[in-house]
Parts: sequence; structure tokens; C-alpha cells
Amino acid sequence: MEEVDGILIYTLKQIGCDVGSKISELSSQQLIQCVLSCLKLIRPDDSELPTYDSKMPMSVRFKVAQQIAQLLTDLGYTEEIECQSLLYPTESDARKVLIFAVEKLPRESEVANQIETLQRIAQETKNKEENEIDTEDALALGNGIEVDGIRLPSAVDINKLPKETLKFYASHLADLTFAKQREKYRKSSNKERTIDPVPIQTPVYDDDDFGDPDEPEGIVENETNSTSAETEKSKPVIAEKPKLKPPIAQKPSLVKTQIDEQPDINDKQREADDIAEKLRLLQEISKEKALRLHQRRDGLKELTLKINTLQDDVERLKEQLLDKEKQVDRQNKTHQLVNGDENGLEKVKNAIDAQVEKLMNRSVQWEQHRQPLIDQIRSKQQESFNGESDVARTREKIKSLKSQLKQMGQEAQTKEAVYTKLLAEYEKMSKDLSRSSYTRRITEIIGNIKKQKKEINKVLQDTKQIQKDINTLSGRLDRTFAVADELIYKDAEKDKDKSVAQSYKLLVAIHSDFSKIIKTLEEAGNLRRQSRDLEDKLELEKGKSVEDKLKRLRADLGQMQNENMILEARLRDPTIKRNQTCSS
Amino acid sequence: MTNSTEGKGIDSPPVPAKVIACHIIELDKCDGMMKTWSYPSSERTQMEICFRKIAKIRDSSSASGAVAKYFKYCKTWHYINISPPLPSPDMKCAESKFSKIDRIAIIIEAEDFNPARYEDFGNLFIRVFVAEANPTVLLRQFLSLVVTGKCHWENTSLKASKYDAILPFQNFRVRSLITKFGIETIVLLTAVLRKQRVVVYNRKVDALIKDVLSILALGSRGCDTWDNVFPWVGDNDDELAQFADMKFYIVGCLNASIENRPSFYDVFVNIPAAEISVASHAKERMMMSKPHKEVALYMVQLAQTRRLMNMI
Repeated sequence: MEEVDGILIYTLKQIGCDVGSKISELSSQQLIQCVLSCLKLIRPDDSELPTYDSKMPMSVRFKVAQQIAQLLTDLGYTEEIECQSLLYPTESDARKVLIFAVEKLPRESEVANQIETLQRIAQETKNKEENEIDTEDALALGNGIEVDGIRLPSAVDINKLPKETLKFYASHLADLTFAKQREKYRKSSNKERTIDPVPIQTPVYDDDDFGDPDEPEGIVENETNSTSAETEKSKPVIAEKPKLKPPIAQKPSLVKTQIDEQPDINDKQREADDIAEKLRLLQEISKEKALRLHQRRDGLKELTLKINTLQDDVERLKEQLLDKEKQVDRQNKTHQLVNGDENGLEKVKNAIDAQVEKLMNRSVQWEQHRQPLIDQIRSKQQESFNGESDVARTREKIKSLKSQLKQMGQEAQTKEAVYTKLLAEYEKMSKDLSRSSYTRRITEIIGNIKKQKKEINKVLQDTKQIQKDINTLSGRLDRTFAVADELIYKDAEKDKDKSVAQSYKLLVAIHSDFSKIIKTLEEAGNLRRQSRDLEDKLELEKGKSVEDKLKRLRADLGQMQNENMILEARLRDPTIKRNQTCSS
Repeated sequence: MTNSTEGKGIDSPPVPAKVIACHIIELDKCDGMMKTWSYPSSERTQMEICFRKIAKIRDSSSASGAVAKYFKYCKTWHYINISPPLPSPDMKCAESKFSKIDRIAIIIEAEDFNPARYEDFGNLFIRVFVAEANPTVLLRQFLSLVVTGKCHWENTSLKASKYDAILPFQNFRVRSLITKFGIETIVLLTAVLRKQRVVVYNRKVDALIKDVLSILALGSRGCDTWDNVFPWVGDNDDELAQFADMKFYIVGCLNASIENRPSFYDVFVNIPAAEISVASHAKERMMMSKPHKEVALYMVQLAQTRRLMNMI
């Protein structure tokens, strides 16, 4: 980018713009002036080019900027451009616009063509002058003649004019008339031809490098409107310039003479030719010189560069020399030491020994510091290691806790699952059977049980009553027996009657018989109870389906016996066994 | 050139000992290591590389016994000597300082290539340091090596000049190289003669170093190639950077993955697989012609006959 900027600035300076050293530092006014001067060069025939001045009112400035923007777009500027991009330019905008404008500038290669056209124009204008003069001649008499905008009385005899006037004409009219002439040429060519002589001058300028870059802008602007003569004038550096003047100065006299004397016209023509020729020559010379100057400058630059590098080389070589000198010194010294007396060698040895000893001392000192430091590092490492192990332990704990947590979570999950399952079941159940029915049934069962208990109690009381009755009866029986026995025994003793004795015997017999009966009855009751128990047991055994098992056992036994037989048969003859197994 | 007797194929490098530096690295029992002493100085990257090498040696070699290996970094040879595991600390009072240390590694930096010499000196230094546990005593030995080229401690005395510079080259395996690669050896020969970039891969350090030196011996005789040999290089960037801008080198690497970085080599030699691969960008330079084949055949033939002779 810097390179681009450099080229831009260089070109802008060449076309006479007042620019700084950087594109980024361009003010809006500078930018517009640059663009304007470029535009003037690009379209020299455009007389409608606006002028710009920072002193102008703001609205006019806007208008001018808009015009310039329009002109740029007309020229083919592809980017978006408005008045604000010129009035308040960003760096990149300004760069783009300037690059475009500079690119559109007429090329140097066109310079030669332009010179040619200039010559051609000069020729043509000369021809025209002739024509004009012819017509003027026709018009002349009476009205007087207007030559180059200067009105001369018609029948002026130059010889009759006072000397002072003639002198004035000779000295001052030259420039005037010449300028006017040129302006006319230009105007006529503007009207009739698209080729314009003006741009020729500026490129020549550019090429020459003679143009003063510090020249005020006004002149540059004027240049585009001025004649080639003026262009020549504004080249104060050209040494040949004075040569140019005399022929020009001669011109007015020619003009004057033309008016009166027809043959002078030919002279004038010749002189004009000469002038044109000279002009061309001068231009060529100046071009050549400019070129040479360029070359010289380049050469100078190269030479200065060379000088710089050579100076660097010299310095480096000097340094090297110094180094080498030092080396030589050192080597000399060592040589002296080695080749000199033996003391030298010994000195060196001693010096080395001393150095070694010094080093050893240093090492001992260093060791005093080093060992504690190393120990410190080790202890720190150990600490950090311990710390790490602590961390590891806690990490381990955390891990175990985490695993526990996981396990618990799993348990909780399973429990929850069970809970949900049970809940679902419960819900299902509650739909089918109501709680009240259960309770009702339970209460019924409880009621039944109570009833049964009552009955059992009753039965128990009955049995107790019966037992009591039995006891009382048996007691009474015993007592009555005893009484009867006593009475009968007493009677038997008193009476000694046989019948009484017999009745006594019978009584005793009855008593014993009845007691026997009671005993047998009791035994019978016991037996009946036992038989009832056995019956219960029998029922139980029956419930265990012993018979089926027995059957199965029998079948198994049969099979076992069969197998045993087969085994026995196999012992005797394996073929039989096979048949048997097949059959079985 | 290849039929020369093995081990005498290369001109000897400069003889005098040019010792530059010495470092002590203590190896912990739990795989850590620490540089505890240096004379005169050490660089950080250099020490990191040394640590990596020691770790590699620790991983690969068996636990018992001393180890001596070497590698080149920044134009200096680093000779690593690792002591056998130290005895339990209550044997000697001096060793109480080594209670946490498993082994001692001493690295000698030198400009010259002479493994045998520096193995002996390194072992002596280790013995000195283990017995005294004081670097100052070691420094005295080191300075005596630098100044006089001699070391004396207890009953042993070593002289640097005693070690023949040719000695280190006696173990070249040029013939085994030829028998291994057969006709393809010509690729190696051409690569060394034409100064291409060769990368050698092998699994073990000792074998790798021997292979690299053998390949060097195969095609080169002068000391001019000596700067371009890196027998043992890790595959990390700070080591690879040291020959990044060289046009010619022979590099040994323990990591086969370097084959996937063809920008580092023109010829890649995979010793365990007995493969030589030429990088695609170097194929044009490594075109083989009929004379190449003749030379190759002659080489193989010679190697076989020599072997027969040896067998007789």
C-alpha cells in the first residue's frame, strides 16, 4: 500500500498538486484539488470544469463536489461516489479515487503524438492566419484591421507613426500579440478539432521534471488555458529560453509589416516555420536533458549506495582487523610464554592451578548453598507428594462414598419400583373387593367363633356338672353302702341269722359287681377314646396318599428287578442284553 | 569402499578430548529425576532432552547394571552414564544423602566422538560421586580431565589420550547391513554418496546407533560428514529442529512414526522390517541404473564370500 501511495503522491506532485507525503493526510480540499487537476488533464477540452475553493460557501462546495463526482462516474469510475466521499473522504476512498484519476491521466507515450499534433496545429494555424489575413485584406480598407484583437487604424502608415509608438509596439506588442494569437489558435482548434494542444505541455512538464513542484496551483490551472508560449515562459530553468524570445519578438513586426506588405507574409511564414522547428528542437533537447538528468540522478543514487556499503565493509573490516590484532597479541603472548624461559610455562601452570583452586573454593562455597537448596526441593517434593497422596486418599473416600450413594440409589429405585408395583396391585385389588366385605366376613367369622366358644363352654360346664354329679353319686353310693354294710353286719352279728348273713354276702357281691361294672365302663370309655384317636390318625395317613406312593414304590421295585436281570444277562451275553433293552 | 574391513571405514575424528560440561542428574525411586549439579552451565531444553533420553533408557533397559549411552545435540556429544541402583542407605554414612535416590546419572558433554573414553570417565565420575557424595570432589576430577586429560582416583587412573579414536568404529556392521538389505543396500550407498537426508529407525538404542554409524561407514570416509550424523534423536520438535535446515544428514530415531513425516527425509530405513523407502520427492534423485545394480551385486557377493571365509 505504501508503494501505491508513493506512486500516487509522486504523480500528483508531478502534475503540480500540493500534497503532503501521505494519502491518509490529505484534506478534503487537497483531495478535490488533486482530482480537479487530474480531471483538467484528462478532459482539457472541458471548459465546464468547476473550480473549487475552500472560501466558497458550503452549498457551492457541495455542488462542485457533486459535479466532480458526476464527472468521475462519467469517466467510468465504478465505485459509488457522492459529494460526501470527496468532501469527507476516508483514506481508502481517497486512495481509490486518486488511483482512478491518476490512471486516467494521459500517458507519457502520448507525449510524442501530442508534440506532433502541436506541430500540425501550428502549421494549420499558420495556414489559417493566411486565410484570415486574406479575408482581413478583403475587409480592410475603411474599417481598419483588427489583428490579434488589436485594432489598428486602416490606413496607418508605419513610417508615419511616431518613433516612440513604433518602439512601444516593437517592445510590448510582441508578447501581447503572440499570446493573443496562441489563444486564438487554441480556441479555433477547440471548436474545429477534438485534438487539443494543451495537454501536450503538461506531460512535457512531467517528463522534464523541470516543473517546479512548489509552483502555486493557480499557475497549473492557468497552464491548461494558456498558450504554449506561456508554457515556455513558465519554465524558468530552461537555459535555452532566451533564444526563444527573439523570434517571438520579431513576430509583431512581421504582423505589422504583413498588413501593409504582402511579400512579408512569406517571410513571416518562414519564420513561423523556423519557430516551430526551433520549438520542436528545444523540446527534444529539453527532453533529452531531462532524461540525462534522470540517468545522472540514478547513477548518483547507485554511487551513494555503493559508498554506504563500502563504508560498512570498511567498518566491518576494521573490526575484524581489531579482532585479529587482539588474537595476534594473545598468540604472541602465549608464544612468548611457551617459547620463553621455563618460568613462563610454570607461571601458566601456576595460574591454571590457582584458577582451579579458586574454582574449587567457589565450588565448596556453592556446595554449602546447593545442598540445603536441593534438600529443600526434595522436601517440598515430598510434601507435595504427600499432599497428593492425601488428596488421593480423600478422592478414594469420595469415590467409595459415591459408589455407596449409587448403590443406595439403586436400592431406593428397586424399592420404589416394588412400591409402585404394590401400589398398582393394591389399586387393582381395591377395585375388585371392598374392604367392608372383608371386615364383614371377618366379623361374621369372629361371631361364629364366639358362638362356638360359648357352645364349647356349655359343653364343658355340662361335662363338669356330670362329673360333679358322678362324684356326688359315687360318694353317696359309698356312704350308703357303708351304712348298709354296717347295718347288715351289725344285724348279722346280732341275729346271727343266715338270711341276714346271706343278704350281707349278696350286698357285698352286688357292691363288688357294680364296682366291676363301673371299671369296665370306664375302660370301655377309654378304649372308645383311643379308637377315636386312632381313627383320626388313620384319616391323616389316608390324606397323605400312602397307597399311591406304595404303588409307585412297587413299580420302581419292579423296574429295579428288571434292570438287575438285564445286568445279569449282560454279564453272560452282551447280545441278549441289547435285545432285551430293545424290547424293554 | 564397502569391501573394506569392518570398523576401519572412517577416518578418525579429532583425537584430543574436548570436554565442555558435566552434569549430575539424580534419579528418584519413584521415576522422578532432578538435575542437581552442573559445571559450567546447562540449558533448559538440553536438560529436557537429557531427561527424556534417561527416561527412555530406564524404560528399555533392565534395572540392574550400569548403562552408558550417547547422543548428539547442538553439535556436542552427550555421553550419559547411569550408575547401577545404589545399595541401601545404611551401608555407608556418605550414602545417607542418597536415601531417596535410586540411581545417579552423569552426563559429559564433549565435542569429540569417543564413546569408550567417556564411558570410562563417566563411570569413574559416578564412582567418585557415589563414594563422596560431594560434587566438589567430582569437579576436581573433571577439571583435571579438562586441564591435564588425566584422572586419578583411589586405585584407578585414566588417560584421555590412551583411547584410540579408531576404537569407537570397530563395531560397524557393514556386512550385516549388506546381508540384511541385499541389493537394496545400493540405495543407502547412493543416498550417503549423494548426500541425501537419511532417517534410520530401530527399536533399541545400541543397535540404532550402530546402524546409523554403519550406514555412514558404508558411503563416507571423511570428517566432513561427521557433523551431519545424529545417531539417536527423539521425535520431539526441539531435537528435530537442530537439523531442519540441513541438506544432508543421517539420523537415527527410536520412533517409527517419523516415517509419516516425509518432509524430514529422502530415504527412510526401517531396520527391523528390513525396508528402505524413498520419499516421493526424492525419487528422481535416487533413480537407479545398470552400474548401480552391478555395484550392488558385487557388494552382496563380496559380503557372502567374506562370510564364508569367516566361517572357515
